[in-house]
Amino acid sequence: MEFVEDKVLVKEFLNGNEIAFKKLVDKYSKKIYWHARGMLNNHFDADEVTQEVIIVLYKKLHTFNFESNLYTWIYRITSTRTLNFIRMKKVKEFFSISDEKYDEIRSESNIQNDFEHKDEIKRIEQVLQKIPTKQREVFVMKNFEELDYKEISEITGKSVGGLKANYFHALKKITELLNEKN
Amino acid sequence: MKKISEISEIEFLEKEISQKIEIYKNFQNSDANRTYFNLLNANVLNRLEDKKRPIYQVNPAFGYAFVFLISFLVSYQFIDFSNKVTLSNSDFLFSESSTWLEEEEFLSSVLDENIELDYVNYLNNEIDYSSSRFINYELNQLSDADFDEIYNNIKDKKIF
Repeated sequence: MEFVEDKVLVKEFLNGNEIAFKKLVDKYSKKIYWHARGMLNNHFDADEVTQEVIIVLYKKLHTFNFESNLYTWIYRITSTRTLNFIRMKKVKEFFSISDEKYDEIRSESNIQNDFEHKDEIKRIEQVLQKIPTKQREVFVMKNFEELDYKEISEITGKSVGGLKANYFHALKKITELLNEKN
Repeated sequence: MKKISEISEIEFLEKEISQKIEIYKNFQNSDANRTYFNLLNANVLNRLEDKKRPIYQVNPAFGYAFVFLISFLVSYQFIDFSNKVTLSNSDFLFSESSTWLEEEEFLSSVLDENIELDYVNYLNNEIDYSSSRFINYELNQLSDADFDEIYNNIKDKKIF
């Protein structure tokens, strides 16, 4: 049902209906943001990646061939963009281009303000940053986005066996780190 | 056996952190963030609208005129109007095609040379030449009788 709905929206958009694209953005921007947020642990970075992915969707939607689900395709773009963002950030940090203090100030003012579990959320995000990117990606997709291994495999292009192993290691480390904090 | 224990461990670990995962998921699905996402979507769509808007196009004629004006102003800076310019080339040493630079180079090399002329010798030669020409001319004007008389006088050492 979802697949058919997406297909209709994409076709309408390709026929020039901009409202169809707006509907797609309303439907997927949250998912894009939360994937990026889980990977980056920073509201502003996630915001930037989300905007970038939506612009890419607008430009590249004509290349979507309906062979897979639209959300799988969108997740693939989001995953690639997020990993690229992490790489770029590491390079910037290496050459001391990024201002860590500024990043800290920025990350304080994000959408989690006034939320009752603010500290716990912050702790989960900090713990997520301590595990390798590959493991983090599987963990985020499996737990927060509720995707199964087959879907994650389609998005990341990795084998189900490898993903299971990564998930197991991620789960172990995260549990350890969360208990440590407690 | 190992796989079964791994699966049961995964289940155990998942159960252990399930509460935390649930908190994070509630945070993700919170209505409090709806305003942010509405703003985010509106912002991106505005950015896309801005990108679609064609850049203000200038009439090509104005473009060419502008380029001409700029190039004229730039070239104007290289012309030194304080220098006198002779249009006809009076100096045979230089052709019309010779540049100011070549001419200037040549002239400065000439000025730099230390020319020493032997004026005494030069003047003597000139006097000798003109006087000999003068005598020859006078002699040519004489009639044969006068010439013979002078010749005889010289011979008799009456003259000099």
